[in-house]
Amino acid sequence: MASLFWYKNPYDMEKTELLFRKQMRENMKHHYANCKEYHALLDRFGWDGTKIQNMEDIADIPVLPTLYLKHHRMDSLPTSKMLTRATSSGTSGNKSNIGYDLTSLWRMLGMSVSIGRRHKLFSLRRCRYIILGYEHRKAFDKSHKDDEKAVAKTAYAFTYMAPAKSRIYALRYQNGEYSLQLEAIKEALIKYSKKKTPVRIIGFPFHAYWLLTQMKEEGITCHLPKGSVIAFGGGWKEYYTQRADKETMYKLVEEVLGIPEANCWEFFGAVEHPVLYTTCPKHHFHVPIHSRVLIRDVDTFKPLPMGQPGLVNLLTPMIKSAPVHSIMTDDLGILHEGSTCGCGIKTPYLEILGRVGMDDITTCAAGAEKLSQQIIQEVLK
Amino acid sequence: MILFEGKLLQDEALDEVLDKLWESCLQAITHREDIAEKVMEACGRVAQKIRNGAYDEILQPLLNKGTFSRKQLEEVIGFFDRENLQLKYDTELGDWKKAVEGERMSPRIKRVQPLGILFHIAAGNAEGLPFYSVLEGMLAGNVNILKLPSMDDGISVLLLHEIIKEEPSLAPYACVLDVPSTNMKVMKRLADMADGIVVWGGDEAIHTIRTYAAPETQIISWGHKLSFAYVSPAVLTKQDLQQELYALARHICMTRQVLCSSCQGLFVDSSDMAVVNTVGERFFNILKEVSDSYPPESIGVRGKIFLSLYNEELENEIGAKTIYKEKNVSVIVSKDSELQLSYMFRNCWVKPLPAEHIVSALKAHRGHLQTVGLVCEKEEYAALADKLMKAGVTRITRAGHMSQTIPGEAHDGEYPLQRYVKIVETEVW
Repeated sequence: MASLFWYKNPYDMEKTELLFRKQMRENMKHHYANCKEYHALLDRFGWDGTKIQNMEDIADIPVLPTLYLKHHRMDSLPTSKMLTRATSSGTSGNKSNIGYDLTSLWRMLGMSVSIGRRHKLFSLRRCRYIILGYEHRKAFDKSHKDDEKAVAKTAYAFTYMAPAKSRIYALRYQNGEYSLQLEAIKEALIKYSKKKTPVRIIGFPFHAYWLLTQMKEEGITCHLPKGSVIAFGGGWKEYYTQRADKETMYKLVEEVLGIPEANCWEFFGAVEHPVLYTTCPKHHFHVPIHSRVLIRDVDTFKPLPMGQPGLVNLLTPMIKSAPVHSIMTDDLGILHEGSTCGCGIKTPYLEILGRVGMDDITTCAAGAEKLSQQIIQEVLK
Repeated sequence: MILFEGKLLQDEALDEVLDKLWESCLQAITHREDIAEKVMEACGRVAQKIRNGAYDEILQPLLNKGTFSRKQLEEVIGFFDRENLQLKYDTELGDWKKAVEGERMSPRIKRVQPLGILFHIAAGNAEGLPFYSVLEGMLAGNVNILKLPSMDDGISVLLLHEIIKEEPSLAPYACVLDVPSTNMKVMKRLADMADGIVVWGGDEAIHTIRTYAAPETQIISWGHKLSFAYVSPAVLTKQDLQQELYALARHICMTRQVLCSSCQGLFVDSSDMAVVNTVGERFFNILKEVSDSYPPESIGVRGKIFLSLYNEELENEIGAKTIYKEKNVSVIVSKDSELQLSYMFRNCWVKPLPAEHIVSALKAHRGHLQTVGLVCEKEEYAALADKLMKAGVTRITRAGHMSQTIPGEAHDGEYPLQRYVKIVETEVW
């Protein structure tokens, strides 16, 4: 059992707990030895090599806020080792820019394969892809590949989960900028619904919501071929106040596209924490073996027991190229006891309540699902 | 919620209302009268009703928040009393209007007339502000279209509806729509109808509006402003000045530092960092103590503050700043004299700014300066106030009164009602 990331069952936490901790120690040691900025930070926190060696509780690891990573590019490997970089899709100007080396990407691939298999994301049947998001630029704009949004990379990677017959994008890159082309997507959907090839749609929930409400208002409904799928990721962003709850969204999808609730998937992750959180049949994000979530008290920073809202601290030993093994997101969340879900997966599941700083967060906490600044992450290059 | 021609409608009616709005505005302008008296009368009657408890049920959630007391409510209501509105009207517009219209030097007759149609894009940081903006537009005689801020609490629509119930002839003068600012199509449509756009918001909001408003449309902006306290080192030795710091701390907790007039930080009249630091530490202890008697901020706000302060500590690698923090209340002492927004919600900065540098340090921010809470000895007052005025501030108050509004006073250095009218000259023969 050498690799945590190629382990077959992505939710077998019991059997992989020791391995996870061991890899966390190794990962932290690696960053301490190879990332100058991280070394200096740990020194300020009073950590040294021996302390890492004896670390038992992952809660003790100093946490880096994503806010800090937005202002400091931190690499634990030389640039020559980085095969690609990705940025967060932050709307406020500052973005994290994380490099990935071969080892990290290999682990990511293993994790994706294991999670993809478990959630039956892969298919051998050819399908048509509709990406409600940014057009993948690599093909025609190599100069900018380094700062491509991870969300675009992820969407592109998604189109390899089943062989692609075609790919179309809602945000087309023309004359140096992106323009939203919902009309073209609508026409394609109508056309595809008359054929047999399944359709896979991925995108921001707000784009999907705009498209579907528009189609509903115009009285357009289509029945996409059996095996069609819609996947959401990336959150509601600045359209948070207009967000639709899950039930409304699924009902709309079924009504307008004829895709059943079971084929509505959601992803969650971050450029700083590229673990593929995928919803279970009950639409919950269970924590996979490659990741741990600590919910921390907003006043004391101490880890909270299950069921209580706080700051979301994500941990993973996956990335060798940047010290992102314990990061703090801008979100508030709750960790729920896995057994209360009922889908069969025993690991706890994470509910994102919304971004910190939002005054109405106490009132919308109940059902709201905001993925906020978080984005679906890079699965493959 | 939509308010159109005096009726409350659901948001679904938006398209229908938009189709009728232009015609309705034209009708209102064609039959326009001087409505100031009626507005003041109706408003005064509604104020009286609020005082008598007619709306307690609706106001209770606001009072329950804990940052808005019954006493403050009384003060706000007082503002809308008939005589106070008259005072505001006379000070801002009435007396000036009389002078302009009565001037006989020119052969042409001067008339002070409303701009026409005002499109208000209101901010949500102060309760009832959208209502207040429309009220001012009406006092000046305009037809008003209001776009509510996102997460509006509904109080503004309610108040306007009540005023129209008191005086139904005012119905054509106020229309309220709930459209997100991101809906550019509708925003542009509304902007195209307006003679003037009244914007409450930051530079970014104003910039966005300029992108879609026609060049000839007047933009009247009440932009984001920054306010601060200016503190004499005498505060460390004089007991009565220390009390002013307590008042300042209460002001900070009460306004949550979200208003233009809220104190963001303290400038100390000294270049000696030991003095600045002592003031910082002293004020931190006061703020912490005062903070306990106010309800805690929401978990979302506390989370945000925690992250900001945690990040601030990580960034402070060479110890350039001194950070005092406890339970999400903080004072950050730094060596620069830059005016900036604080983290808000009981978190402020303390910086050196010797009196001789006031003008040079603040001049760069002239467009954003508003209130200064001045904490100093009587004999220092005149010289300091003079320098602050020269730097461009528009209001100097006692520390605890920074956000206190008084009927008839100017807003950001201007009388709003005068900005909503124009002078029309007519030649008679």
